[in-house]
Amino acid sequence: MKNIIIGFIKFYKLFLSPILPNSCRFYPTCSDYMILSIEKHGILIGLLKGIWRIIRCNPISKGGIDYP
Amino acid sequence: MNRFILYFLIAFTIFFLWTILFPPKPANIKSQSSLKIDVPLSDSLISYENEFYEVKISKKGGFIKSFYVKRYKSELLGNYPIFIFKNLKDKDFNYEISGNKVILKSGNDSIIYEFKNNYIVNVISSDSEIISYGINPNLEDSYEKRYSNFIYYYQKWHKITEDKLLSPFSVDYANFIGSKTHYFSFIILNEMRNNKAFLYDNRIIFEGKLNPNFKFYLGPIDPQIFKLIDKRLEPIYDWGFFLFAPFSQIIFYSFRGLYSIVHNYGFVIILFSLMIKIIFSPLTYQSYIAMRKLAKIQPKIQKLQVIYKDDPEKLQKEILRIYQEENVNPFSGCLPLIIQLPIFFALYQVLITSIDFKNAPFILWIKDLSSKDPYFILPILMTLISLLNSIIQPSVDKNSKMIGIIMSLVFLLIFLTFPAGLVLYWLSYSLFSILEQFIFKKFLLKGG
Repeated sequence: MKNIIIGFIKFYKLFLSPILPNSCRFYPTCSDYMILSIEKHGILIGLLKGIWRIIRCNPISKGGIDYP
Repeated sequence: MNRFILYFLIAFTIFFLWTILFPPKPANIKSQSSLKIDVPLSDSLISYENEFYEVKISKKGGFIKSFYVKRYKSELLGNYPIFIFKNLKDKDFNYEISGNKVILKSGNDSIIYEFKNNYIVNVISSDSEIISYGINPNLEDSYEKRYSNFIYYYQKWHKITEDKLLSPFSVDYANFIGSKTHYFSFIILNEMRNNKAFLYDNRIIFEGKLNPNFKFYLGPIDPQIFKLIDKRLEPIYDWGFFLFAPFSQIIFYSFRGLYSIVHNYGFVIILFSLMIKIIFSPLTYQSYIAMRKLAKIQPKIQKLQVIYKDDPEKLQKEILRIYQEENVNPFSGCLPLIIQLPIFFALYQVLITSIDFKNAPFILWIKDLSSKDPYFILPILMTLISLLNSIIQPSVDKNSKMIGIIMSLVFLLIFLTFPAGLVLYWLSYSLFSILEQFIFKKFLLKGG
């Protein structure tokens, strides 16, 4: 299950991300963060943390370097 | 890894070419030959007409033979009656029309149809057993056919697809009962007992017993009308996946609002994309302000680019560190981007489900926003813009630029068959983004 979700995110990174404008305000990018977060905290908490990261990734936030 | 990408792209391309060249055909379900249904013939007809529809009622049997909805230019019944009264089908009726009522009499038997607002018809009859022939499943195209279902409400809506009706399907009791196609539905709005539904001559036929004083709905699947009649009817309209359903509702109702102003759904979509753009423009503006600040630290970044020219990952990290120190960030973030996704899915859902978009024209060659662009002009324009975008865009490595270009072409294949309205939305959104960039650069960043 974990690998399937990470697979989907990797798929997104590889194929979909290149056609979208560069937009992430953080390092690592939201998709990398999601993968690291799932690997570190498990599916449920990892996904939630990742979603929270995407919500934070907006022009009002400062951005910068942020690891899960 | 490269080989994987290649395999994937080949598979993807073949798959989409396949679906374009060989679109799925609706299954041709053969009905059982053992079931014999006699369709009553009618020689002379009574006409009743109001603002919304035109009805023809047979003098023999007193059934409704034709129901033409003016707004959507659709005949809902074809050659079959919507329903007949089992014990009255051979009676010859005298008739009288008074106001919105058609009164049919034959000896002690009578049928009264009262045509009310919101496509509701009140019926008072001396017979309580009916056989319904459902609505015309061959309404214009296969799309309508694919979605024809037998429906009934008991605690919740049950949709029975045609393949499950090859042998008779029984429902002991239902609050509402009816049949639907993709855009239209016939619903008896009273409880019915001992119901049986089956397929005959590609039609959904059902019979049962009900109160001789009942009402039914015959008209478009329109959540706004359903809401007025009975809240329980609303789920017949499909808002789509539950996470995106709220977005579908917002889109559906705001489109109706906009339509009452501009009267063309193509312009409604363009206005809608402009609205979305304006809602997000304060966010984009923020990132443009940041870009102005960025010019000041540009020398630092150029220095880094020289130092880390062989390690793009490290470079990206170092650049972001400087942004953080200087408190600037030129990117608008992932949230504004990802919020497009539910809007996109919800718009797709509304375009293919709502009757509003059935044969809704835009301008010139776009005659139906709910189906594909016949000359593929919109998707090709869209791909050109996205290609340009992925070529101009500075990317981390060459590989991803190449994939960007290939994926733009893969998306062209996907977009070719998408509803023209959806492509129109995305195209005008992209054009507004370019315009927005231009405006910010020209007027807001001057003399920074």
